[in-house]
Amino acid sequence: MEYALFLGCVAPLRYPEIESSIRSAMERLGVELHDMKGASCCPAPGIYPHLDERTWLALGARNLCLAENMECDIMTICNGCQLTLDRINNELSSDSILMKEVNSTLSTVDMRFRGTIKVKHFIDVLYEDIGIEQIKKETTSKLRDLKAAPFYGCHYLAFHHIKTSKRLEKLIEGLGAKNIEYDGKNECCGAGEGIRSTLRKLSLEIALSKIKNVAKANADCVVDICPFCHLQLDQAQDRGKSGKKYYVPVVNYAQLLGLALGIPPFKLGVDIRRTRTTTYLERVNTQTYLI
Amino acid sequence: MMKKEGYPTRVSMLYSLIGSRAESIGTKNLIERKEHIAIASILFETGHSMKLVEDVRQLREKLDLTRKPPTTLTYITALKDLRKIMRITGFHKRFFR
Repeated sequence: MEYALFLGCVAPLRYPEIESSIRSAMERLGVELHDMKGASCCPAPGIYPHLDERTWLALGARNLCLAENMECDIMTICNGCQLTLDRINNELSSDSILMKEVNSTLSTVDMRFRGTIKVKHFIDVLYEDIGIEQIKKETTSKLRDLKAAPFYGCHYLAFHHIKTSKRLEKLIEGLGAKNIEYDGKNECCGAGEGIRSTLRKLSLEIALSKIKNVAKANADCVVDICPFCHLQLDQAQDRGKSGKKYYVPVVNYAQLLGLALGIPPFKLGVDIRRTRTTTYLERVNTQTYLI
Repeated sequence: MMKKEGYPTRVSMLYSLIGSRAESIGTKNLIERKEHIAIASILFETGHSMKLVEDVRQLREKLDLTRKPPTTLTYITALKDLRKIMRITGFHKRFFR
């Protein structure tokens, strides 16, 4: 099994531990990832289509062309990247006039969009291609007793029906951890659609409301599947001198998966962020390394 | 033209309204749109919507990753192609001149 790895911006440029965790975990699970050399921002769905749709389409199509030339489907690691690339891929593939227009622009850089590949979020690669049972077999330890609060992010929910899928919950259970329910689980983290860049204070308040609910539910950590949600939930807890401080560890699912696969914590960067991770790590370490 | 991205129906109305407000700021008000144009200028400069800072370069090394990701930050020809596209579509002229 192989994929072209689309990195996007937030993971490689702000939270490289997510990139590292995904690369390590996927390798351990037998998924061969190929770098998309020269890829750019997807471009972000909350900003660029509103500034100039033609540019958004052309730059997104350029990224898709890189994978087409590699003859590989794309695996994304960010909800926003998934939404942009999947949407552009589908729109261009189903609209020959639009495709012709975009290809006219791409021809100036010797590229041509053909619509020959698919775009898949890494959570869906894990769920559909590898499967829960296989993941259970591959994990060297179980994260028993870890209370995890799943957080999808609304851009993922934009292309899945959460009531019927529950994929993240099943994947968390597959590692032996327990899912914790809390208010606002399926709502926006407050970052997307350009809110973070234009209404920063409000944006962080939205994120903090999720953190408060996770803390109230007594979860050990919140588990996300998107670097932008990750950044938002992590940074919202740093409220300066005013307001109550929260210390809810924010963990990407790939980091949790990596721990369950026996990958050393330093390789997954689980202990380097703003939020204190002592309790969470002690619990994980108890299960993973001391027994 | 492409249908604009919208919030899924499962997201509460409050956040949909906030999203609509942000979108309105982003599309209709030239003065308030400056944050997005600033991000777009980083895209033109680097190929990404945020800059790679030294702390993250060091963190990448610590995690056994390359100091720069294998993107437009590493491949200059790819960055030139991206800039060429932004010029051809008129994006560069519209927002940066």
